[in-house]
Amino acid sequence: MLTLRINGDAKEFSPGQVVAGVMGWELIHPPSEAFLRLVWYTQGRGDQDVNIAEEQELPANQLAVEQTFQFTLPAAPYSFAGALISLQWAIELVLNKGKDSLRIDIVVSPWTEMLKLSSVEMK
Amino acid sequence: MTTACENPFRTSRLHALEYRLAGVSWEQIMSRLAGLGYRAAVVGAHGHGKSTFLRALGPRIEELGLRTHRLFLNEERPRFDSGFLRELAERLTPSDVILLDGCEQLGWWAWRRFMRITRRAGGLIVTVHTPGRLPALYECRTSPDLLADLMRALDAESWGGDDKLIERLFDRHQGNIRDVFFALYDRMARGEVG
Repeated sequence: MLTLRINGDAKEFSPGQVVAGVMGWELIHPPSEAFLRLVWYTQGRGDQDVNIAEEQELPANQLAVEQTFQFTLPAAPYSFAGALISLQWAIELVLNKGKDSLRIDIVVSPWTEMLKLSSVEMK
Repeated sequence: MTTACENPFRTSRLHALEYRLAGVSWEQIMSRLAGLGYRAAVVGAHGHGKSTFLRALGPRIEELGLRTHRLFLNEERPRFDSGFLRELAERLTPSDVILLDGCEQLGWWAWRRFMRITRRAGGLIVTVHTPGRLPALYECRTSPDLLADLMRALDAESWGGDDKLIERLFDRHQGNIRDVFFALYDRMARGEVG
């Protein structure tokens, strides 16, 4: 079982803000490798882009782990959602080359909510 | 408007669909691949699932203890940099298997050169539109039933269409399921739901 929790269950953050929380796992077999990542990724009509903004290597080869974490969010890019493409930030716990993973999506924006791009005429 | 992260036809969801084999099992595919010495072609027209098949095949090859290298060519990027190929050639061992998506982009000479450069690899599996370059491992075909099955797997009930529209789109795009999904994506993005 994997655990990933942001303090206060907050989902919306400003650029430069610190995101802190708790993460860990309890498994039958210890993971061969484990990483906690702050990432952004795109979704939409085209191919997906994924960028690792920060990565923390975690102590692998342990059956159970629980520890706090924190990331300082970068200045950009902002989260946004449009008809053709959206950009989302997330914190993800990735074990065993992605065979076990858990992700929390967050919004990184200087405004109070995700920027929504208005629709344009599509042909 | 449906945003990209809500659109049921966004690429990340399509890539998560499991490849549907027709009339053969993965065990039989892997056995045939071994019989062909891990040098084979996946054949099919545009949008008929060759890339999806290759994505599904990769991890199965890695389970055998081999390393896969996914290479991609298309009309916008129809050839490799010679520096990249030289570097690749130096690194290849019999434990490496190259998965080349878009082999038809290489002309005859470029293909011969690519074969020579990758000869030290333990395998070379390519996608092509027509048979010929390597023995065929599998032919990717589509059908309205396959499209309907994929729609069910996407659980895309909110798209607001019906079976007749699916069949019409299938015919209009001549069995190119990727283009059908693009059309459905655009329909959702424009808010043409229900």
